[in-house]
Formats: sequence, C-alpha cells, structure tokens
Amino acid sequence: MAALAAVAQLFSGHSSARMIAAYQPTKLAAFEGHYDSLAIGDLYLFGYVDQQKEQVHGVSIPGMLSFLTHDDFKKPIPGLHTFPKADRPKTVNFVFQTYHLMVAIGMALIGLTLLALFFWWRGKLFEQRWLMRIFTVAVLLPQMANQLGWYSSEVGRQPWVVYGMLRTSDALSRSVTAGQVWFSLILFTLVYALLFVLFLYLLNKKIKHGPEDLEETEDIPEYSKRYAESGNSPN
Amino acid sequence: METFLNIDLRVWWFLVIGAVFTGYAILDGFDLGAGVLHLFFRKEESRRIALNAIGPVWDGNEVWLVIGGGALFAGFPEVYATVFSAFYVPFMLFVVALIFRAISIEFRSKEPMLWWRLTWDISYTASSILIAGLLGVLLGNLIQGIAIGPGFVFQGNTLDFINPYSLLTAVTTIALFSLHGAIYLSMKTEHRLYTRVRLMVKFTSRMFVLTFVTLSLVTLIYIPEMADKFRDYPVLFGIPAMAMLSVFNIQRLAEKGRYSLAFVFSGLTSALLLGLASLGLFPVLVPSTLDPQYSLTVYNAASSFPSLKIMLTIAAIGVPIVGVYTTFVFWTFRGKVKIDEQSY
Repeated sequence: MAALAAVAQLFSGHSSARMIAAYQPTKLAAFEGHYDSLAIGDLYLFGYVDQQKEQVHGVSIPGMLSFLTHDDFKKPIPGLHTFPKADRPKTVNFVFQTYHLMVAIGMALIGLTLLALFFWWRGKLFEQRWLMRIFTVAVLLPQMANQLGWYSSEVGRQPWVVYGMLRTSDALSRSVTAGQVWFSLILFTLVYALLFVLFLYLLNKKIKHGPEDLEETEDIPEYSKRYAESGNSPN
Repeated sequence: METFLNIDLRVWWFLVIGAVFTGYAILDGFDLGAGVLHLFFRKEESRRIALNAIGPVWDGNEVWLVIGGGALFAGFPEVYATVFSAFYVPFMLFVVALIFRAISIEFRSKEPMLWWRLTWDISYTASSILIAGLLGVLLGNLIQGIAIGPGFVFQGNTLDFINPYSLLTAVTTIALFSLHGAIYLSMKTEHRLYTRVRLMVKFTSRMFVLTFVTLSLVTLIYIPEMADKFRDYPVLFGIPAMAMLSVFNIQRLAEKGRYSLAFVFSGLTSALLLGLASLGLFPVLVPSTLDPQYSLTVYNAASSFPSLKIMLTIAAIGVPIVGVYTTFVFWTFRGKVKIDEQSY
C-alpha cells in the first residue's frame, strides 16, 4: 500500500512540475537554480546554488529537466535570467535545497517501501529488525517532505502571492497592524505547542495500549461501566 | 445587471449567505449552548451524557460556519476582507476558542483522572461561552457600524468593539444559545438528569426573554435607523411580531413538555432575530460610522456577475447536499443518549 502510494507520488509530482513549468516558469527555474535561458535544463541530484555567481555546484543529470518538461533532452528551459530581477525569488538556494530534500525523501520512501515489499514477498519482512527500526522513524518523513515542499513552493513563487498578478507586498491588509500579527503568531505557536505535547502524550498511551482484543470490544456494557467508575473514583 | 427569477444576483447572494449563517446559528447554537451549561451538571455521568448528546453532530454543525465564510468570500469579497481585517483579534480568539472546544470534547474522557476531566470541562464551557459571546459582539458591532474609511479600509481599533451595545448582544446570544441547548438536551436525556435539564430550560428561557426585551428596547432607542424600514413597510412588523410570539411559544411548549416542538421554535427564534437584524440593515451589509458613503452594501461589495453566477450554481448544488447529510446524521442519532465504548 505504502509502496503504491510512494510510486504514485512520482507521477503526481511529475505532473505538478509540468504545471509549474507551464504556469510559473520562474519557480521551476529556482527549483533547479537554472539561470541561463539558452541552456538546456539539468536535473540536480544534490548541490548548492552560489547566488552571487549565479551558478550551481553539484551532481546533475544533464538535460534531464528539459526531458522531463518537454520530452526532449536538447530543448532549453527558460532560466531565471529571462525574468526581471524584481520578479524573481531572492533566496534561490533555499528554494533549491528544500525542493531537493523533498524529492530525496520521496525517493527514499519509494526505495524503503519497495525493499519492504521484497522482504514481504520472501516472507522475511518481520525478521528485518533494522528495517522495522527505520520505519518507526520514517513515519516523520512524509510530513517533512510535505513541509519542505510547501516552503519551496511558497518561497519559489515570491515576490508574487498570485503569480504574475498580485505582489505579496500589495496583498497585505492595510488595517491589520504588525502588533496584531505578532499577537496571533505567538498565540498560535503556544496553542500548537500545547497541542503537540498533548498529542504525543495521548499517542504514546494509545501505542502502548496496543490494538483492542476482540473479547474486550464485544463486551460493551462491562466496558462502559468500567469507564464510568474510573471517572468517578476520587483520586 | 443580471437577475434570476427577477431578483438581482447580488440580492440572491445576500439571501444565500443569510440562510447559511442562520443555519449555523441554529445548529451550532444548540451545541454551543450545551457547552455553556456543561459545568452546571454536577455528576460525571451527567456530563458524559450531555457531551455525547452533541457528540455526533457538533463538528458537522461547524461546517456551516465554514460554508458561510466561503460563501461570504465568494459573494462579497469586500465584506470578507474588511470584516476579517477589522475583527482580526476577535477572530483569532474565536479560532483559538474553536480549537480548545474541539480538543476539550475529544480529550476529556481519554483519561480517568479527576483533574484531567475537570480541566477539560472548564475549558469546554469557557470556550463555548467565548465563542457565543464573540459572535454576539460581532453582531452588535455590525448593527452599530464600524469605522470604515475610504477604500473600505477599517480605521478604528480592536477596543472599539467592546461597548455596552455589543456586550448586550453578546449576553443575548449566550442566553439564546443556552436556551436552545437546554431544549436540545431535554430531548436527549432521561430520569433525574431530564428533571435537571427541565429546570435549566425554565431558567434560560427567562434569561433570554429578559435580555431580548432589553436589547429590543435599547436598539429602538439608540439605533432607531434599524426600525426605519419597518415604519416604511408596516407589513414587515410581522417579523418582530412573529419573533415575539415564537419566544413565548417556546416557554408555553416547554411547560407542556413538548420539547421537540419547542426546539423547532427556538431555532425559528434564532432565524427570525437574524432576519430582523439583516433586514434592518439591508441593503447595507456593514455600516460605516465615519460616513454612510463608505458603508459596505450588497451592491458595492459584491463579486462580478460571472463569479456570482458560477458560485450560485455551486451553492445551489453544495448547500442542499450539506443539508441532506446534516438531516441524515440527526435522524441516525435521534432519541435519548446511551453511553457506550465509542462515546466521548
């Protein structure tokens, strides 16, 4: 199931990237740190964008970005130079890194789940303790990929809030003060911190409790009585 | 200008949004009311029954608020922008209260400790009161008007919203929701708890009549514009008259023990009161206290006609679907509450 979902992500991600190539070319260019408009687009596995020299250092598959976008290794991709400096995201390296981390996590999940499928097929999945350990931690990976992708998507669209139509600086409310924004930001940080602690506490309890026994769930009256009693007992 | 059945599309949107917010007030009204009354139940079992009476429906009821917000954005984006910016702080508090109410309901019965349950019970009642109160404050300020300047930009500050009139509407809203909630609980409870709930219906209905009469008098004295339309078209006096009759009918039916019918009338009272307020304002949506020309109206705050048309079609499909499943849930969970292991 997870393997299926992970592989499906590959296709959904690919079609999203094509949408972005068509509608938000600056963002696509920023994802790959692609500056030169006449050059073919390379697909980086990992790397670092030197924003001063407008170059990327890293390992890439030449022409792969062009291929994924246009099914043609030789077709150039509009680079960041195509657009006026005022219409480009400033922190290209940040967009590049968050985007590549997201893709890397996606690939890792595909690898992990396929590996698990292989062991399952061989009937040895639950003997692979090391893999089970990784999966315990891997619960966090999709969430991280989600957040990272969100960062690269939002920052990559800057300075626009609606691409090509509305600048972020023009989209601010004129009557909401900075103080009010601070108020809400701090308030929600506190609320979510509290929620997180509660979540961990209750989730931990639920995990330790384990799945319900069949006998126990069938015995409804007994169960509800126990609940009511435990609630009334003075501590 | 485009019309549907000879009525301006913008007026249609006014009606749609009015209907959705009325639906919200009726539906979330009773579960908020049940929350306000929660701490008045002393025994653990009573509290669990009261909580599980609204258990299957409270979150579905809040969907109507989401639809209302969405519809407001689609139909009258200028109102959405101005009101949400102006009421930024109250709305943030509102959202926090919604969060705390939801987790109180979900978390309270997850642990047996007395302090744990008491904490969530208090949080549940406090957030319910805060939500009902903030809705009342919002309504009070929309009736009085807010400091809207040129370009529909709000020029006042948050503290302006706390004034005698808005506090009065807040108390009235809390009283109405409590009454509505008490009547709902009376349909859901049995035995000694039912007897207790009956006393609550009695008490809350008195509170509501008291606040409602005060609010009506204060409105007529201090905001006489609200009554202008009624003087011009005397037929409209039917609405406040019906509201009055409806309020007294609740008491009459409650005394007879016909709570299902009383519940219908407490819902009708909410609808009539909101109808009264919006009719008093119409075609203005948010009056400006600085200059009437800056007021947001049905005509200057609406989306373009093509947007209104598309969105009206969507609303015409979507709102009935929500209406049907809401009815379905209520039908499924009809009757008295029984606690089982799936309960909150």
